[in-house]
Amino acid sequence: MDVRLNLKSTVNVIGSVSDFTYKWSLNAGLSDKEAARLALALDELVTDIVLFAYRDEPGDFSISFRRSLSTVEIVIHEQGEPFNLDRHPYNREAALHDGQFDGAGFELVRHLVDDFSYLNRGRQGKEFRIIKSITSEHIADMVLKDDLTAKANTAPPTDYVISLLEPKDAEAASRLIYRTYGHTYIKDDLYFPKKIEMALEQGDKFGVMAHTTEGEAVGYFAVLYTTNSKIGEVGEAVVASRHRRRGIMTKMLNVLIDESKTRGLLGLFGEAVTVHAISQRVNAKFNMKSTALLLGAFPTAHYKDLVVDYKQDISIIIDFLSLVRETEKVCYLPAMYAGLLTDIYASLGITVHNRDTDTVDLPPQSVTDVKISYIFRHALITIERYGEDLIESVHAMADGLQNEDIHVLYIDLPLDDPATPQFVPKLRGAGFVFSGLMPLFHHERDYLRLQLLFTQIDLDQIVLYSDMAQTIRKQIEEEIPWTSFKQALA
Amino acid sequence: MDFVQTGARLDIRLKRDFNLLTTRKIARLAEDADTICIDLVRSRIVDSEALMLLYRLVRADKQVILKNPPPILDEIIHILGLEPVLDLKKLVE
Repeated sequence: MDVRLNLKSTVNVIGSVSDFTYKWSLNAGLSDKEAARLALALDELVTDIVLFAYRDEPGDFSISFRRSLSTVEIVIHEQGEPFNLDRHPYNREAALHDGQFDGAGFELVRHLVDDFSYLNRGRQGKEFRIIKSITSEHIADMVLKDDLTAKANTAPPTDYVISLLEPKDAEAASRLIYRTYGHTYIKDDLYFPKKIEMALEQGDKFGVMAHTTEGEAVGYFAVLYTTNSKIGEVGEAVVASRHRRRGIMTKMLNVLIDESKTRGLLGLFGEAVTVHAISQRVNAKFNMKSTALLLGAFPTAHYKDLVVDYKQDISIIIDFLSLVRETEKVCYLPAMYAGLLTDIYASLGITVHNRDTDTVDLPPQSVTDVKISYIFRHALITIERYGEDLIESVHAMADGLQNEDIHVLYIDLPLDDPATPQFVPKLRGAGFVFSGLMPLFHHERDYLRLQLLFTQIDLDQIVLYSDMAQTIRKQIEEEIPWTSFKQALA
Repeated sequence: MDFVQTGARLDIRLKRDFNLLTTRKIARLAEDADTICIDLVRSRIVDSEALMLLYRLVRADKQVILKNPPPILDEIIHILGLEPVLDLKKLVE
């Protein structure tokens, strides 16, 4: 469970924060030793804030704890004195001989966590981020190699039973992935039965299994809660090679859709890679509609065993399936995208009533949420409240993220906010280009996604299936020549 | 934390982590002591502020004795390269 603590900058909070971090880390799946190391890293950062960020003035700061199946991430946000992390290197000799310990705390943090970064957010303050990986036993260590190399003959005719996935099925699901894909499946978590089990127990996902009437596990399909909204990602699916082309995937999806509705989900989405059209075709078959094209969402290295010589980051298509009957919506569509967004909504069966808006008066400071994926080299800014400082703040974050080797920055703009139309041209001027519609992606609200590339993406290398996906790419193609990115390339 | 001062010897038993808060308290208490014994049995972590205090105490020619240090202490002394001053073989009882 993600947690956010709002704290006063006093020496008394340090111990409590460390205690909480340790216990939270254990619950997230870290070992005792690694939980203690993470707690110490946070102790060092909080101590630095208490001692230096506000000096003797009272100040506030917040700590956000986020976890996935693979990592735990802690973000510490404060608005104290400006600071440059690079100007505080630790010097061992100065410490040993002169008692000068400047930078010692940061040196410890770098060694205690897997990723440590610092982000200047302009007038919105600064953020420290620390990340640790969660490790557990890999399925390859639990399965005999003969299982992997066994010939995939077509199975004799049989009936199948679809049942909801339970924690006790975790190992069978993991074995199925391993036997079917070897080491090539993109979702690495599925190779660790303990992670599947934990995700089910903690409500991070739900799914179904398909068994033969003889009890052999032959299919797995799961929905993941990967957003802060009542929608699920259809993100993990496999059918054993010997049992393909028998409608198992369709049967599993139908059960999953029913279960999603029972659980109150409003929609399902898939992230289909664009190095080939297979996943997109499957999504289209299940009546999912393409709504956005996310350029450079994953490094190509993650596909090295599956796709040969794909030399650029992998772009993905968002395909969406609404689970509720919604036929009309009121939005504030930016003029330059009103037509395209209306068409995307229409493909989802929704008629949009676009409201005109004058320039909106704004508070001085915007409120944004920033999520950074160091593994996938992308970041996402979500607008929670517009403020006068937004563009300046986005510039500061973009600079910082580029230095962190982030390849693409996405920004999500709420389409029910009357200020969105006035900010889109400004963001276009800052180099962002269209990405698409993210239906219900945050707190059950629709968002326009724009994207800013820090790396080169050849749009001709992107394979698309649906007509709408092609239209979205055309829009992006028209915009890229006007971006700073394209000018920089030129 | 609990502490007992017997002449020039100060015995401390921490009830929690060895961090900025406890470091400040120990620094005040240690001014009048020649020997400082700190029991860390209930400390899960020892941070860089604590290391700085230990460094200053050792450099001030006070005898520092550590009891029941957590495993992470050895690691962070190594990371910061402070073994020449903070030698746990000598400091830990």
